[in-house]
Amino acid sequence: MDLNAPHQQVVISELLDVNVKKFKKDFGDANDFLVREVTLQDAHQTKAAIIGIDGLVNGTDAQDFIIGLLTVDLSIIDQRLPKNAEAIFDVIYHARVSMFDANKSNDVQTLYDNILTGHVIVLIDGVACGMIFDCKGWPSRGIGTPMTEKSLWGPKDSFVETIRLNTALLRRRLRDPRLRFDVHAVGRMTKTDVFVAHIAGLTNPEFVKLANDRIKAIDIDTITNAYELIQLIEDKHHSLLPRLIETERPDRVMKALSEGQVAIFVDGSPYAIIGPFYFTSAFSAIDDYYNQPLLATVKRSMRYFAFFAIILIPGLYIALSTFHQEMIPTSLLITIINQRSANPFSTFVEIFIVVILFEIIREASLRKPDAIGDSMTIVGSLIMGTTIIESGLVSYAAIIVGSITTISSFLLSNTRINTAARLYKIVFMVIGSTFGFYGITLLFIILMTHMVSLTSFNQAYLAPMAPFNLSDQKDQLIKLPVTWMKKRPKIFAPLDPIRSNLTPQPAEKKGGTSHVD
Amino acid sequence: MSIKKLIVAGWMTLCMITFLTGCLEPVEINKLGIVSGLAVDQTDDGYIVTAQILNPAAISGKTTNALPVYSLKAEGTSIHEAYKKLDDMQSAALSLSHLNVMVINEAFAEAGFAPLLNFSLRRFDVRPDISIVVAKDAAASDILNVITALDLIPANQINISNRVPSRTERLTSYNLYETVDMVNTNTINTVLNAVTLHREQTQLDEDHQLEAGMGNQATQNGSTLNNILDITVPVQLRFEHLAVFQGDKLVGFMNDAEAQLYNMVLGDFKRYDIVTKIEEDYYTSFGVTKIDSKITTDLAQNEATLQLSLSGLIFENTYPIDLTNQENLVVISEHLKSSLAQDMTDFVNKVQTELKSDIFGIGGKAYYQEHHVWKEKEGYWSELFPELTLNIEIELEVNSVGEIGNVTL
Repeated sequence: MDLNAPHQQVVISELLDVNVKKFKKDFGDANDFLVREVTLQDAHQTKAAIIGIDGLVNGTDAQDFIIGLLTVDLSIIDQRLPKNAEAIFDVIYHARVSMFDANKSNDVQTLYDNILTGHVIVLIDGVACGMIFDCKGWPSRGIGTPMTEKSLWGPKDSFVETIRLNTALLRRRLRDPRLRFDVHAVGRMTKTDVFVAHIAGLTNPEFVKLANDRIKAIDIDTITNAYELIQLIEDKHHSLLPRLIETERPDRVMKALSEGQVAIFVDGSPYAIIGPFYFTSAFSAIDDYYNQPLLATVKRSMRYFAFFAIILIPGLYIALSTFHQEMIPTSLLITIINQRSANPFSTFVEIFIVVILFEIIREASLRKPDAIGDSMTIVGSLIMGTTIIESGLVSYAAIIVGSITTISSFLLSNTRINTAARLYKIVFMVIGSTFGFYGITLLFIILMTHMVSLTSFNQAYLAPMAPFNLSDQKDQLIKLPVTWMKKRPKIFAPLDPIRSNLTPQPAEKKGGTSHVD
Repeated sequence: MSIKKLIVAGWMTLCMITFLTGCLEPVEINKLGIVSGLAVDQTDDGYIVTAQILNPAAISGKTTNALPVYSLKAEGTSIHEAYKKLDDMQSAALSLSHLNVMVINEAFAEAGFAPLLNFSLRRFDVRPDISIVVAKDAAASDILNVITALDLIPANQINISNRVPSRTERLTSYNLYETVDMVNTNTINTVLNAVTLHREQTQLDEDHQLEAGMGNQATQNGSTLNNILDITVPVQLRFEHLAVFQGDKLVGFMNDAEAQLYNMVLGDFKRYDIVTKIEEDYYTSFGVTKIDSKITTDLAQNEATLQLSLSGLIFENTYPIDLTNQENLVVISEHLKSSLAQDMTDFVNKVQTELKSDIFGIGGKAYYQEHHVWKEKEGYWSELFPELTLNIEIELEVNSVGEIGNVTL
């Protein structure tokens, strides 16, 4: 059967043998394709088949299920009637099997889809219809701690690869009946479950429609991860900057939904996609909300500084030391000259070596097995760090510049914006070494123009800075206390803008009431 | 263009950028010859330009057998020509961007130092925060070459802006742009610092040098390490005069005491000291902590009034008088006032008759206070200024007598 062919309604046969043969043929006698043919003793020796995929079906559940099936009590079926397959089917479907999720279908394609998602199919001889029971029980990873979005004060659970568990994690936090999941199956081969989560009556329907439409329009064979989906549904621009963001934190998704954003879950990916996503949101870590607001403001400004430090500092250093030496204080200039006196390369090559070296170390530390971590630290930092300077390959100043940018990049909790910044850094280095400050200024203007032109779900990417929106500034560059933020952010255009109805607490009388009299 | 071609083109661009120089003449930082001081001596044929160039390795202590700076000298018909010769003398690319100070000799100052301003303003790499200094009774290059004990870089010693502000009551601190403004305008005339070579000659020293056969030119000028190996520092730089200009031409010098009075008239807040003799045998030292100077002009009457109001405290007193008595303070302040008034009158007379240069900026005050009269007389202000009647009004107040009242020593 050609799975790529357009869907045609093929109805299964009444005869069990024909059906089983067809199923086995279509699955090519795969060794995890299980068919168990039974005979129902107390029901006129009716033949039945239980079909499922090994590994996708929970063993114990299936065991209970088969026992329930085999003990069909004849007394329920009217004995005076001749052998009645339809009646037996109904008894089993309605009375015998205590599955929560049950369904039936006579369409071959539907049955196949359900088999492949871990359902168990029961076929009864003489009935051209199959029962579908949920026996899902594939191996799943336990809920772990977040890897990329660590939080000191926040919850420690993160999403897993099973979409049902992820939605459960969300439901547990968001006990609102208005929470909706729009279901899609993406990928002709993978049929990956994709849920678009939103809150009816709060989330702007425009975003929901946009997300649903873009997901529906996808025609692709496989989809394995959230970022693959992001690439398929984000606004079409040539840009390194992320226009949709993935998160592994259920609390962050909950927060996004409650503010009017749309969350998209992809089965098999421990990340949920949040949209629309704005540039400024990349600089707010979830810990900002679990921390003293002033402290969060300081941390945020550090993150903004880090972003511009990453993209600008290497370029500025190259420009300073090759074109604008007059801008370096004399004593510092002398120090740099001394360090560079034995250096054979130009400043650009020197910085390039350091930057590439740090990227190599960074990549290596991501992929290294835990056991060799210590030896890598020694080789990477001690041996390489000291010898590379002593050999005269690069100067101290270059190492300092490289270190500042690398350490700054750890400050950006958002890995996508971090990657973008590190790539922009190289462009600024090239321009800094050829056109100096003039080139850097021009390139920065170009970068800003580019950012202004970006959109996320058709919303301006730099909102609420450009276009400016005063009331949304409470949670952008600065973070104000929760009591001050009585409305939901306007950038997400929620249908219900009121967030809290805090009435100011009556001021306590100084000294309070006396307990003496 | 196909993707493949684009990638190849991108790689080629990256390689070219990396290994070829850019179009803006980039200079790698270690190929830079940083000029910290420039001396310009006018000769009959042109100029001798001396550049003091930093030796970074010696400054940071990497090499111990070299001086932190070296000096190069070249002659040319123009300053630029001489400077280009200097550039060709060594491998480093000379850069004036870290220039601290420019020294000119007396002959150049007398002939007018505008060519130097012309040279420095046209160059893109000369910063405005440099000071111009006149070498009095010495060649500018000799001044620049004196090795000093305190500062590794000799030029820093001449740069007045490096000094602690409260210690500069006898100095001026005009930067390049201010100097240019003052040269160009006729509302105020230029005053620059003048530096002299002071030779601390002892008999022992001379004998020693003669014996060692080192009484040569270099030792005389303090340009060898011997200068700082001797505790008395045989050759020192002294800032004891201010050079007074008319336009860009030097007309004379003010001495130490006059320099302080000059700064007082300009009303710059600095720490001034007035020492006065009382009845021949006693003296009082007065430190000014607040100064208010005001010049009002009346050009129609050919008159100007200088009002100075000072207040401060007594640092030292040997006059036997009860300082705790308020009335006696008036007596002291009268003494101080009359002494200051006398000095000021003498000073103003010297400026008007001898120097004939409006260094107080009276023209500038007239420009604002009586614009129309000034516009009429602007053209012949230099002839008018010496004839001007300058009234001096001084108010002086003793605020404090210091930490103690009376002493009976």
